[in-house]
Amino acid sequence: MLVENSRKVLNAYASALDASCDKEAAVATALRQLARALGKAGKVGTKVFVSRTSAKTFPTSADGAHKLGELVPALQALIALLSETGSKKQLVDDLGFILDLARQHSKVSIQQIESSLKRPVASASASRRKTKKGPATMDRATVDDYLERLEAALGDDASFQRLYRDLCGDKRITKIEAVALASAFYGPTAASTSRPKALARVLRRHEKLMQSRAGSESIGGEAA
Amino acid sequence: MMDEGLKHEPPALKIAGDALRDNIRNIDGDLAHLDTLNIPFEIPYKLSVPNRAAIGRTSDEGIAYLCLGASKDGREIRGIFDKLAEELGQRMR
Repeated sequence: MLVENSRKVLNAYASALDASCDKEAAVATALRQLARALGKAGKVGTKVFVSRTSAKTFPTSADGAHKLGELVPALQALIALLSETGSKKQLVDDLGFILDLARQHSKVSIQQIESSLKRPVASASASRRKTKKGPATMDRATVDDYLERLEAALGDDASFQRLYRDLCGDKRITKIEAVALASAFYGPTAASTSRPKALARVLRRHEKLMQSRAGSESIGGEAA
Repeated sequence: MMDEGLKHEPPALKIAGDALRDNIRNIDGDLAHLDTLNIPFEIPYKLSVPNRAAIGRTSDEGIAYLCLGASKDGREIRGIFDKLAEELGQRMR
């Protein structure tokens, strides 16, 4: 389901909180802020949006700003309400993804989430950038393709090294793709990480496995 | 949950999973059987149980998500364990 649907529900819920009592006004404001941020996500599924945002690294937010963690109780209550009233499972699931995001980045301000969406990090389009002007978009198809091949080659030193050389020499893999690949294959990688450093993180996972294997063999090989 | 200082944990979890899968190659056993079913050993990092004072306060009282009661803390922590239980339930089906 599109993130647009989640945005509408959050706005409606904020209005309901506004009407309930003053104490909830701050939560309503924070919910509206999050809904506004979702509005900038474009035509993308909620699960994909949450997955991409989860992989990002955010600096510690300034005091006073509404943080995602403040929304956890409200989102839990909303999900419970919608579940009990028989709302569409997809909508409830989508709000669950947003709740997961709020828990994961509980100390990140909603403003930071919104700011990060001003520069699209990923594009639903599989086509690569055609001009150097305009916002940078990510070649998701190429990233997914490499991700699948890297997972398959992991542990096979010759295959992995060959694939890694191809990856390093592939001009379609810019810094944005390298960071996305490192985030998915190894672990959360800051958007500011350079291309060589991001690719080095990709290689690190394989090297760690090779080191582990060498260690096992030196103490008697695989388990019998 | 992942704080700024815990960024090394997701990769560490992945590396540990890789090493475990590698160690049980070509052997028979329960874990190897799970591996052949393509069931990942790693529980998603986002489901890790965060360090919460409310959980700590329940030490010696029993299971945290039961003895916290119907308080705000209780609901929040039960939500955390519910997600984990859901993941485990899916893997056991």
